[in-house]
Amino acid sequence: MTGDRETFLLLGAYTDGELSPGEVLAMERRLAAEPALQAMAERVRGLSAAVQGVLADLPASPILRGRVVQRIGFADPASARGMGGPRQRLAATLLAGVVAGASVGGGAVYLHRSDAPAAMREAVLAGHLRGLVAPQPFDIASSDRHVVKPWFNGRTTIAPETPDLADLGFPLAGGRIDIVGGRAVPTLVYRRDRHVISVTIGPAASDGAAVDERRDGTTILRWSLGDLTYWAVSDLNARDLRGFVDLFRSRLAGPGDRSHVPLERGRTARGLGE
Amino acid sequence: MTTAARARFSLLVLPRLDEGYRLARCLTGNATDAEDVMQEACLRAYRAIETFAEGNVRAWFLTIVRNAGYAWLQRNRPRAVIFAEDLEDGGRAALDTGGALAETPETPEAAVIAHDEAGRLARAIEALPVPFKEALVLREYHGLSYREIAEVTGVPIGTVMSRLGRARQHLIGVLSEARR
Repeated sequence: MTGDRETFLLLGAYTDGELSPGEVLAMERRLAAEPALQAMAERVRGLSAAVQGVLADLPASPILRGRVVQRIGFADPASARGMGGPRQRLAATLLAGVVAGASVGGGAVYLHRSDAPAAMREAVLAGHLRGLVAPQPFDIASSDRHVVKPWFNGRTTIAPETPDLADLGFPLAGGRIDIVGGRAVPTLVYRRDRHVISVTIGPAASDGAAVDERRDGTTILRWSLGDLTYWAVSDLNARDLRGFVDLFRSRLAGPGDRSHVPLERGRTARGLGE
Repeated sequence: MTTAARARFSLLVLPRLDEGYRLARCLTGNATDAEDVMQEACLRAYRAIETFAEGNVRAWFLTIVRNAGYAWLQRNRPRAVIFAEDLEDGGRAALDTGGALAETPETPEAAVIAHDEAGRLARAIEALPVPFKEALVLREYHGLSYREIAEVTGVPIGTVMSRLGRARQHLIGVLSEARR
C-alpha cells in the first residue's frame, strides 16, 4: 500500500501542510491504521529535516551585497551626472562607514551640508546609530507620553506629538535630542521587542526625493505632515517598520481621520523625468 | 527611474539578497557563478522595480533569480536544462517492495546527522536534475508554499507536488542504498 506513488505524493503534501482539511483527516485515519505508512511518514519528516540542515549549511556570499550596490549605482543614469554624483559618493562613504562600524562619526562629517535633504537623512541615521551604541538610546527614559512630550520644552523649538502605541506592540521608551541640519530636533524612541525605533522630527524639507531606503539592515522611512518632516529609523524589518509608521500616522491624524495617506515614496516626478 | 527606483530597490531587493543567493547557488552549483547570476538578477529586478505592483515581493524576486539562473544554465550547462526531466528513481524500487522499510530498523534519515551521511545527502541534492532541485530548495530552504513554488517556477501545482515527491523518493532511495 505504501508503494503507490499517489500515496507518497499525498504523504509529502501532508508533511508540507498542503492538504485540505478533509484530506488531512483521511490521511490521519490511514496513518493510524497502517503502520507502514506511519513509518514512511516518519522517514519523509526525517528527510525534510535533514535536507533543511544540509541547505542551511550553504554559506552566504560575503561580497555580493557590496557588488550589487556598486553595480546598481553604476546602472543608474542619474547617479553619474549632476547633483546625483556627490550624493551618491556621500551615500557610498556612509555605507562604507556603517560596514566598518565607524558610522557614528561618519554622519557628522556631512552636517554642514544642511541644505541637502540627503545630509539630513545622514544626520538622522547617525543619531539613531549613536543612540544604539550609547548606554541608552534616549536622554529621557519614560513610557509615559505626558512625561516625554513636555521634556522637549526649551530643548528644541519643535514640540512633537507623542502617540502612545504600547497597546499595538510599540511601547514608548523615551526621547532624545538629535542635531539635524545644525538644529536641535526631538527624537522619540519606541521599542518593538528588542528593536529600537527612532522617530526624528524636523522642519519640512524642501525636497521630497529619496524617501525610504535600507542600508545594512537599517531602514529609514520618511514622510511629511504639515510643516514637519518625520523620519522613522530602525533595524526592524521593513514591513513591520512600515506598519509602525502607518500606526504612528493614524494616531497622529486622530481617531476621526481614517483616511490612509500613503508614504510619499512616489513623490519624485522630477526624478522620473530625469 | 532614479532615486525612487533605487530607494525601492534598497527596500525590496537588498534584504532578500541572501535567500536569492541560496537559490542561485543551488541552480549553478558553485559560489562564483551564483554571484554572477545574482548580479544579473538584481539588474533585472532594478529595471522592473517600478512596474512591480504590491504583492508577494519574495516570490517576485525569487522568480527573477530563478529565471536568471535558467538563462545562465542555458548558456553554460545546456544539458542540465534539456535533459532535466530524467530522474533516476532510486527510491522507487524500495518503495514498491516496501523493502527499505523492512530492512532498516531505525530510519536512515534520522541518522543523517552523522557527518558523512550529511555529505552524501548534500551530494545527492546537488546531483538532482534542476527542476527537482529547485522545487526541493524552494520548499525546504525558502519555505515557500506549493502555490508560490508553482508561481516561481511557472508550472502547475500538481507538477510541483510530483517533483517534490520524486525528489524525496529519490533521496530516500539514495540514503537507503548507502545503508546497505
